[in-house]
Amino acid sequence: MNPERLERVDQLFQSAVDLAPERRAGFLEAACGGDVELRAEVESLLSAHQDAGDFIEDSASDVAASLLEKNPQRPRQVGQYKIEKLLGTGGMGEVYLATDKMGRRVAMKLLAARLIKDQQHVARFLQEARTVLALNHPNIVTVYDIGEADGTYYIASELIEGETLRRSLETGELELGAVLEISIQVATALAAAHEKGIVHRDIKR
Amino acid sequence: MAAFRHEVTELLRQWKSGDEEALDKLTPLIYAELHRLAHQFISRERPGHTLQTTALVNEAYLRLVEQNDVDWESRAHFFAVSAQVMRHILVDYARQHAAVKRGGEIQKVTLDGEVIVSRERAAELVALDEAMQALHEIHPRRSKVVELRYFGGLNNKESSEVLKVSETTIERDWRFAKAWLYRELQAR
Repeated sequence: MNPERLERVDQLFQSAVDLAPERRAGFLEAACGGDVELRAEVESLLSAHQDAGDFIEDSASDVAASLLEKNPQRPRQVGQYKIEKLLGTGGMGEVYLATDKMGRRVAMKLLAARLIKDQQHVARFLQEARTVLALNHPNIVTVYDIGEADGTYYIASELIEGETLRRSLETGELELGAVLEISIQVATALAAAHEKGIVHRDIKR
Repeated sequence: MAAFRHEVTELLRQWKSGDEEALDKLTPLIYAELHRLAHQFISRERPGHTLQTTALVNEAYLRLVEQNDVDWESRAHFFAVSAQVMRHILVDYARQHAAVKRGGEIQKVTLDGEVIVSRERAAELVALDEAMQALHEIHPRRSKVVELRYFGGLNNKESSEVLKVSETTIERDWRFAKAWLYRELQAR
């Protein structure tokens, strides 16, 4: 794309973003005239703008924290749970493999230390667990316990071993049968949630 | 250390007055210091702390620059170099991390979509870096804005000082770059 063209795309994109969404189509219609390619380019950027959400709005350090902390200091014990090892890191905290006092293996999600003092995050963290707790379905992870202990908030839930759908899709194509099976399981889980009046709003692979 | 600090401070001043060669000398000095601090962070156990780029860069700044002898513009320039350096360090780590072979380990525990195995995030960071290089090809300044803000933790005012454009331009560059990069990564 030549520089003038890029500037034009940027100009239209910026003007359209400032407009109310329902006025954008009309604006682009008038501004692009018959230039279908130009319009498509601006529209695809607008749609990316709409979908991007929090993308890169945090800081690279949030991502880096999980990469650089090869040996993070982690709690040995939270409440009745013995923490065994780190399984993964997410936006709100870390998930550990832990065992309860009966020796049962659980997935232990701990709220990130930096969020503990933030009431809003604490509330969201606990609300999410209570929502899942209200559901009882073979395709929905079972939450065993929610609580506060040893200076942190935790959610203990069923440990699910295996690989993520995202990973399966990246490593190869799925057979039609498997696709159907997965889709049916996802749909029945969502239906069970809907019956309880819960809407997921963030379904992804 | 005092002589070293004087050198860094002096190079910052020269760069600010338009001497591009000063930047070439400055970058490795800042790189060495940030790399050292990042490594220290890895080996040191800091309970309850997660790494903050800005904290790291601030620490480097305090160590490398003579405080009472430098204006805020030079400070912004220091942070600009640091943003670039942090990008290298972080993406390097991410690349090593993303390359770790899959073993028989448990991949993921699902409670919600938020729990992401760090290797996936590492791969995302590497992909972002590549997309930023592609954006740099067609519009270097917009890619730079992302580097300053996302990797360096600079705000719009500091970014506008470094790039010598208005804050409004920085904000417009940011939203264009964000949409562009998002689209680029979705298409991969």
